Amino acid sequence: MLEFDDVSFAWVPGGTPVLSDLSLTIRSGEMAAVLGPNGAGKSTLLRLASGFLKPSSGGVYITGTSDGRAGRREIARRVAMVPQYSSIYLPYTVEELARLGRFPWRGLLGRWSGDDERAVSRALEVTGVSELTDRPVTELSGGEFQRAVIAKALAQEPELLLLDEPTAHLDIAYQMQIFEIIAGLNRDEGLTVLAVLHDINLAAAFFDRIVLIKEGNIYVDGSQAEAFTPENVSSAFDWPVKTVTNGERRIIIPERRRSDG
Amino acid sequence: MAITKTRKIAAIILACAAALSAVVASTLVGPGLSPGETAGAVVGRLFDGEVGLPWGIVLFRVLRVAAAVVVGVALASVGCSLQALLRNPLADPYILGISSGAGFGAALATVFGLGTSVLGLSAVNVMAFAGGLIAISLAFVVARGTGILSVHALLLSGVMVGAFFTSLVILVMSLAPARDQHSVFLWLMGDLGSPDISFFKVGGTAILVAAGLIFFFLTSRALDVMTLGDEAAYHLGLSVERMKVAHLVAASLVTAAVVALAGPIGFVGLVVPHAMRRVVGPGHGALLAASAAGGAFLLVAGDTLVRVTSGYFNLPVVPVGVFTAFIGAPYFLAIMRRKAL
Repeated sequence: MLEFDDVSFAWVPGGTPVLSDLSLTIRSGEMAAVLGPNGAGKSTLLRLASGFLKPSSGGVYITGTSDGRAGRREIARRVAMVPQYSSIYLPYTVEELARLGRFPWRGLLGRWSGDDERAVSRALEVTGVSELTDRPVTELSGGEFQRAVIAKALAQEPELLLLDEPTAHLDIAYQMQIFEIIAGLNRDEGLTVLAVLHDINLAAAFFDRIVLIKEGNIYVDGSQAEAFTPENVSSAFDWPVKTVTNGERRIIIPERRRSDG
Repeated sequence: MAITKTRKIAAIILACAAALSAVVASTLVGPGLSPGETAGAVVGRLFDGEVGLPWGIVLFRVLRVAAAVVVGVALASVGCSLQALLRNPLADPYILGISSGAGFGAALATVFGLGTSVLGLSAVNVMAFAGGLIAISLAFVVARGTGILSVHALLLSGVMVGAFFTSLVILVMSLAPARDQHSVFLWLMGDLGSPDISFFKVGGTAILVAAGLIFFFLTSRALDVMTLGDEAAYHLGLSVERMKVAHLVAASLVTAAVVALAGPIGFVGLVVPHAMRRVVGPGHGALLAASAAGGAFLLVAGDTLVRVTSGYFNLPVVPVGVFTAFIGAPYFLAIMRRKAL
């Protein structure tokens, strides 16, 4: 579905690379989380995946297209991005916002079709915002707003959903709600998901595949059992952690520093 | 509270009706010819081919009203487009330096006493148009030089270029004789009643404005998408940079044309889209329609008011820019007080 082939990226040509020789393959239907310390290059990786940034060297490929040559519209019909913060300042209603998600399919002049209607209704329903359709998004709570943004992304009917810390500023109920929705889509419809997360336990709750990034390259890439060992996590984050298994759930516990050293 | 489709359509129809009423009223009313005499003159011309002084006055009014409609529609629709493009509800058509550049052109033309030049267009018209385009091109080039054409870069370079040209205008004025200073000063306030106005000028401007308006309508969905942010717009498949450039070109040509015609009339491009957004919502298709009609209404009504009161009190006609400022500034203060900005 998505492939990074030996990708390096630096903001300034010849400058300090944010990502170095990174190779990664995400298969269709996978649900993968990208984790790592601040500055490791996670958000950059996501923006390279969507094509918003172009690699300094190496290539990023979305199945069937050679990313650079595929038009922006074609990519937008297959890949949707949910950013951490959406700077929406105009009072579009939840429904109007979701309808904007159909832009890759309609373009400037395309008429509103049955397909568009279906896609938007589904997106609004799945994200549980059907009752908020006439509310201006600027008046919503954090969780409602983020769900509206996800509805817009889902209205694009993507095959690959990219999420950049979608619940960073939300409480646990909203966090769980949103990831239950995403996990449901992955399970029921085979939506491929690639999410950047800071919350390691949230990743542990929902994601089968874990990619730990450190200093611009992949530290560990594998299942939870492989990635979430105390040794791997402690090394990746430079902080000691313990892991505990609670039934099927794995929980990572960062250790407290004792006051006496 | 919800802005339904019905409400939007009703608002647009109302705005168009208001504009039309203002146009008719403005043709009927004014010094020199009472409404009855005006009607009589029109009838006389249509049915008996009478072409006398009354008809001449009617024609003059029609011309002036037509100019007001063209300029009002242009400024409001460009304001709409730029507020979306620059993601800034305080953007107006002059924010990228056009009015200052045009002012410099007009000032030069006035001071150097250049007469009529090309195609029945005066030197002031031509040099104002050129000055406006030069200023915004400069702002564009400076902004582009920073790498990507970001909104931030555009705003900064626009303000800087505008300030630069304004200082040039002041320089020219300070060195000019009193009579020229007065002319330039009046021009800078914006005036629809310039004596060398002609059907050719208004017609030509109208064609350019119509083309610009059509372009804005065709790309109104892109404007919606762009207000979500450059990155979000990219992720929805929009060629953001191309759209920005196209809009800047359209906005520049339209604005420079109406500034060349009637000087930099302020507040219309700022206030009308703002006010309309609160009535028809942020969707740019409806917003453009409502703004265009609202802009026409505001300027025709304003110009009529200014014309009639000046005539009544036997004063020289006050530039219509004064009226729009009188309406615009309190409007913004009122909004700020209600914190609905």
